[in-house]
Amino acid sequence: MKISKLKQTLIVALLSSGVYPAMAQAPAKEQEAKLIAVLQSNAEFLQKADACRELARIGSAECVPVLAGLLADEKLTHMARYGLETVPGPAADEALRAALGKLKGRPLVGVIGSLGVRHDEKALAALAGLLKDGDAEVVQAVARALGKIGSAEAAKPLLATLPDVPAISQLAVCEGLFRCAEALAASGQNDKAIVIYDTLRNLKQAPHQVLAGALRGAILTRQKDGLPLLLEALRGSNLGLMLAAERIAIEMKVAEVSKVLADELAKAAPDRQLVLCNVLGKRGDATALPGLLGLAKAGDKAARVAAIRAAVEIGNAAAAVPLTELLKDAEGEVAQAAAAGIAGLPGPEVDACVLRLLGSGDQAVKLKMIELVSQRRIATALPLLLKIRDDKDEALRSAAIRCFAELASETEISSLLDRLVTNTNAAEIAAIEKALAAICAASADPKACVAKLVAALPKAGPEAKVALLRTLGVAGGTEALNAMRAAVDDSNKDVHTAAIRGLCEWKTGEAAPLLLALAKSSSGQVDKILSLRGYLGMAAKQDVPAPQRLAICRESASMIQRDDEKLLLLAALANLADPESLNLIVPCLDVPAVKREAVATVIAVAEKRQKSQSVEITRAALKKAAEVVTDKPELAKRAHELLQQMETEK
Amino acid sequence: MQSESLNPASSSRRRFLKTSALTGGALALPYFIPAAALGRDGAVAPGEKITFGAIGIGGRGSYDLSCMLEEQDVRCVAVCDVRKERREAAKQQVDGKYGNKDCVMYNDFRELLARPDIDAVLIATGPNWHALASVMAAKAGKDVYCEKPCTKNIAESLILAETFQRTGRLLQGGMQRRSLPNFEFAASLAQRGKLGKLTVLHAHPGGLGTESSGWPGAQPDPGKEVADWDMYLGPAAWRPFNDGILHNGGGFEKGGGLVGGGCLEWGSHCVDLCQWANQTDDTSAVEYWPEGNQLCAKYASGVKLVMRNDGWLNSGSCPVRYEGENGWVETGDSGELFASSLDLINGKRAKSSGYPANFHIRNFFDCVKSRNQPRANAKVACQSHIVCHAANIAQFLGRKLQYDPVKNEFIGDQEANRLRSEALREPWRI
Repeated sequence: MKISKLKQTLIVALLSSGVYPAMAQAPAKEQEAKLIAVLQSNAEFLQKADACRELARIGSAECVPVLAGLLADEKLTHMARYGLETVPGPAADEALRAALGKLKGRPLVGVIGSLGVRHDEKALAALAGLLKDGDAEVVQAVARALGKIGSAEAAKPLLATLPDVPAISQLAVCEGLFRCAEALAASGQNDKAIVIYDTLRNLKQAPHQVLAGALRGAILTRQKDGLPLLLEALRGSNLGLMLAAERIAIEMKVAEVSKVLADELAKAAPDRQLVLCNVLGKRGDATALPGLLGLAKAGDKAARVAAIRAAVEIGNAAAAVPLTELLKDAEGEVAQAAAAGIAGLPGPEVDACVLRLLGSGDQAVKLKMIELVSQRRIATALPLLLKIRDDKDEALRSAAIRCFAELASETEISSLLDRLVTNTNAAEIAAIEKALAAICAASADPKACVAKLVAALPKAGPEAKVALLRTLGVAGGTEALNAMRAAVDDSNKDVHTAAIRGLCEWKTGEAAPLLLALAKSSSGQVDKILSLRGYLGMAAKQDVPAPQRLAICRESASMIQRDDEKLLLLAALANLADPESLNLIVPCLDVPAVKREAVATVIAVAEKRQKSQSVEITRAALKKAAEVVTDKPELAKRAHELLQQMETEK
Repeated sequence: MQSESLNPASSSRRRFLKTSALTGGALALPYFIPAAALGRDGAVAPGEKITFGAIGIGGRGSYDLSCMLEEQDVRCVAVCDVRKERREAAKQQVDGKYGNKDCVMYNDFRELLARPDIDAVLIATGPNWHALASVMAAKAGKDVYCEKPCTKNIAESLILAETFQRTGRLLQGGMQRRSLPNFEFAASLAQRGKLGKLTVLHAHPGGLGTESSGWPGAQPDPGKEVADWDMYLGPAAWRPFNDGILHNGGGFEKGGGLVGGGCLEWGSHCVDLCQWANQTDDTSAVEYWPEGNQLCAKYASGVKLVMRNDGWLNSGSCPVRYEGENGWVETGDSGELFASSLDLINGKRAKSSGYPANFHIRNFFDCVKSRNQPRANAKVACQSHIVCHAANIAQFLGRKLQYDPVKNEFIGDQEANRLRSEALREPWRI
């Protein structure tokens, strides 16, 4: 057994007192004897309290007299009960019972509670006598203890005292009675439990939680015979009891409840229909479906919506067809609830129902079905959607295309491309592009996807080409990169720009040589700048080795003319942490527009310098940086600190 | 006390019907009846807001309170703490929010519970008080948001569940991860069979030691007005005043005075999440045993629960992992999800990081209105805490234990059964 901190403390204490030399290894009887010795000694309070705790775990009848002797001790009475309360056998009961007549105040309250925990039937008479005690704490403790004992005999004095109990102790007496009733019902004495529940629920003055609890007990204990009581509360004007009945109806195991409440739906006022719908939904019993679907067709709007939701909550596919009949209901909220309901109903039968209407409904129904196909992710709808995407109705056509694109998988790439290449509708192109990008990104064979995209390029109109180029950027790979480069030479300006941008945003450093070449050879100024910026951006790609990144920066520096690109260059160099990059930064210290950023970059590189790296270049750069940064004293200060730090390295 | 009977012509009744008709009712069933309207003082709560009181406003309590104050349909009217400085700080927090001086301070939470105008209470005392104060609140007719761990032992767990069921009051245990999207999604994968038949559930208990709270050095008692030490100790064994326990004793008497806290700290979160994923919210495991530096349990279905400390993926604190015959999923406070296959976790999902309580608190107040059961209700809290307590007892005794979740007793082990409860210091009785 592992020794807890408490036990360790106890052992240490006992060892130091010489009372208990080897408790950890001692058998239980021996341990108990040692613990009793502690209690009988002049040990400190802590040691005695710890001994009581240990006795709660291992104590027997042997320790009862000494623990009982401590019950009157104001300081130790709790710990004495702590030990006694779990000791098996009648000795502890007798000791606690015997203490009843000797104690007052809190020690007495404690003992009464412990007798309750121990379910001591023999204490009934003595406890009942204390129900008239002048101390309210004693009366309440007795009421609860009688409840814990929980027998018919224990209930008798509680029932007798209930009518006259002072308000301050009423809740405790009610609690005792509840516990008795629960114990009686659990042991099959339902008639006796019902008497208690009925007494409680007929109290003239009682808190709402008592009345609600009594109603619950009265109905559940009566089982099927409790249904009239349930209906009475559900129909009644007492809102507190109606809400209690609602919870009870959900809790009731009796099979007839669902049918009875479903039948009640047609007779109930709208506010009660809401309650009944909530119950029927939560009970999940399909026998309520006809009643709920009947209410869904006509009546109060809120109740109809509640009925639809309850029918869906039951989760039976049989609700699908009736709900489709509500899709064109004049009440928008009803139609919306029906559509949402169908979307949430489980089962292939529901999918089949949606497909049937997608193939045969009118335009409005088909539009709703397309939404449902999308929400339910019904992949088997693809052939139907393929047909509808050529429909003459634009709204239907667009919806079908968007839905098709959402559901399409790799096998639908060709079909998507066919639809894309001649398309000029921006929304449809965007939907198809999104679908193609998702398919390419998740594909196990991206090369095959790229081959199909590249093959479609010559057939595509400008808008479609731009979409295809963006998709190639998502797919990546050498073949896609080559196609992107080729598209730079396209005669259409939009396609040309999309290709340049595609290269600039390429995921890997593979595009760097192409961008460098374009930066050098492009005739247009915009193309030159875009390519140069894209090339510089390659210095940040993770797959580009550090030396190549520096080379990119060096090559870029020789071509940069504008301050904007100089800032980009500085940003790229700041990440390199290479002292050689300082040679590219230092010239920027003389450029007023980027001077401050250049100083910050010098400091950033200097801070990352390894001690093994050359000091000279860094020192020179820092000195110049400190000189030129006249408007940012904190930067100058940091530069001086770094210089000083480098001096100490010597 | 007066009866709750409502006159059909009462304003509350009229409002109920009117609201039902106008709001489409079913969208958010407007069943909430303010305590004041239940006839106990004849008044109606202003604006039909849920009125609540906060009990125990230390670090965690202040956070919970600040979340509750953000909710537009509730109003805090009272605060209670045994420490004067905390009471005053909490009152300042509440009054500052509402721009008045109305929040009432209490030292004794029984006075707060006796107020008929209060519908719900936040209980964020130390764990020593959680179960007892929650049960007393339910008996007083209040709904309760109670911080975790909600109970100190198996007996308290059972009493908690039966009291809330009997009184029809609602409990939301502070296991707020039940209301966070990544944990919900991971649990739903297990529940919907996406992982196949479940085999092993992993929970991070955040330590397994079962030390009790010990005996602090005695310090001068500042007096009841400054800090009511007797009330702080409440049902726990008496010990001398100690400022460290008073201000930093978040774990004081967690798990009681003998067995100690053990896996309750995070187990009340992670084990609870495993119970949820395993769809065993209404029962507990049947076998418990320590195994190396971890604690294990087994359900009647054969599913194994492992409370382990090491070897988690990078998903942040308080992680859980569910393994089935067809796959696994793991998540934690980072909000990230890891799974055996990307297919399991693809798709759009709301994402959160950390472990904010806002959503859980919102769920509680929604339920106070609708009377539906909150996510971490009393039955849920009861069973997940029983698993933790039973595991703690197995750890404490250092042996394998069999547990009967119907009788709620260990099979053939009297010593273990004696650790299911402990006597409370008088006059307290749960």
